[in-house]
Amino acid sequence: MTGSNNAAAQLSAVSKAYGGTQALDSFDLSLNRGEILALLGPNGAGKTTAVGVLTGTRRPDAGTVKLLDGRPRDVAVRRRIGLTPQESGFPNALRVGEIIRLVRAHYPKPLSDQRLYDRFPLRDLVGRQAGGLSGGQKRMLAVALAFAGAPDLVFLDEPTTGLDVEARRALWQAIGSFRDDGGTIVLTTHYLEEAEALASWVVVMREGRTVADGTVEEIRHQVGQSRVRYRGALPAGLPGVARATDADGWVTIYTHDADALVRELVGRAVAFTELEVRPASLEEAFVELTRDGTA
Amino acid sequence: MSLVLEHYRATMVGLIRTPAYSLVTVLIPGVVFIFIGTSVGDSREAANIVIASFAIFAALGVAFFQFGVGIANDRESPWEQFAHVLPVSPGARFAANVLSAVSFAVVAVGVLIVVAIILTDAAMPAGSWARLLVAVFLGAVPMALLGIAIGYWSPPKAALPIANILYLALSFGGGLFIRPTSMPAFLDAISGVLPTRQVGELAWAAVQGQAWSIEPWLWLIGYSALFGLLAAASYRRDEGVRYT
Repeated sequence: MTGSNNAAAQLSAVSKAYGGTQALDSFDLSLNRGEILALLGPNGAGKTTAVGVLTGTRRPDAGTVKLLDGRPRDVAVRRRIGLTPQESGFPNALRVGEIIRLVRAHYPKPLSDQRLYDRFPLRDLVGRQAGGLSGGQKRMLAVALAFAGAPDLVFLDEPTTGLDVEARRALWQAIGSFRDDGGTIVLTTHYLEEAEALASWVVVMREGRTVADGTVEEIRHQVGQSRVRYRGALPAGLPGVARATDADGWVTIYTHDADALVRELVGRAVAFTELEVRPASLEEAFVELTRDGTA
Repeated sequence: MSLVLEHYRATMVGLIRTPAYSLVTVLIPGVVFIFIGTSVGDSREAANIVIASFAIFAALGVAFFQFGVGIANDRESPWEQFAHVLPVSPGARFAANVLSAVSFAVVAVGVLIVVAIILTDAAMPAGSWARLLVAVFLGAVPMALLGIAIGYWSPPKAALPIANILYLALSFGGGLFIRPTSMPAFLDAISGVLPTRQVGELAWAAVQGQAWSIEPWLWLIGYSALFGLLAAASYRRDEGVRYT
């Protein structure tokens, strides 16, 4: 998938340890222009460290980092990337418009007011001091700032944490139009729904390594593409089972071949009721891939 | 350059809208002068000397609180971490901080001088005013460097008390509240080696129309070098903790 001249960002064999913890363990990552990459993983998986190394706030112990046509700390490179802080703490006394003005001043061709406020619902907040904003409004502003400089590549760390559904949709739409204009995004998120809605490429991390990467579809396949659920008992020795649980009378089975599984259940005359078959969600794949002792 | 001005503007707007900082910084030296300075100034010369002392007190406050406490608070602020990754050189942001500190110091010293001229017999030739300001602002350089060292070295919650204690101790010990001539011998001996005392010697000479001797300047250069090294070491230590 990687033509090197098309690469927006690349980590090669990057390692990074804090004290005794190996946050990144010979980690590779490659991102093409125009792609939306979602980094998924439980807390401590190394997502934030990976983004930190890419954006130059963390120095790798080993390995090489390429960002756009240079290195993360080059000012020329930084003028082409946009970031959002994970915590949305702003100088309380500054107004929203003043914060936007300050951030835009760093970029050669920033978004106009018109374009910015069309994408992010902040127009009514321009005169408000940041200290008086709600948590959701702060998050919206933080994300808008990542796009305010009209960069080529945007890093979004947990962009919709703390947003209500409506604001999240607005943000997804803004991210979508950035992608449609050819923009590239690296996204970390806890919301699998978000990766499903936005990402063209997903990397699942655990303990500083990639445990799976691919399209949303491909990640799903790795765990079993279907989920079969029914009320009843779980017989032993079913074929093609990726994972099965039996709780409160409900049996849940992840499988690569739901048809064969259901035939087998019927063939064995398993007494099931309320049978349900559907594609596994990314969330389910994620839980499977990041479970301790698997992968 | 325009980025320096944008950061300066944002810093100033933020501080001005925080009256707990801006009003206190700007008014305290003038207010303290009303209580202490006016009672000492029973002659023109004495009044001039007290103005000189309080001008140092005002500049020292800005150096300690804006750099020391300000930096310590910024270190914990997610906004500063965000600003750290914007395409701007650390030098430009530092220049903006220096500009805003100088702005506050100018206003604080200005308020003090206006109060002093209204309430006392203080008066001196323009040349003496100019030399006083030169001494005060150059003397603030090692203080600001010490402030930076405190800001990067101390835990954020400790920075304010540390800055307060040093501020008062250096002001008192340097002879800004009590003339060194009124100090007991042991205190005068300690006072003689403090950076504030050196600035005092220069400022007092300025307002009395006396020539500057070289010793205080040498002391201040030495202190600037020492505090500059401390500031650089504490900055690197902090960078090492946060950006590794």
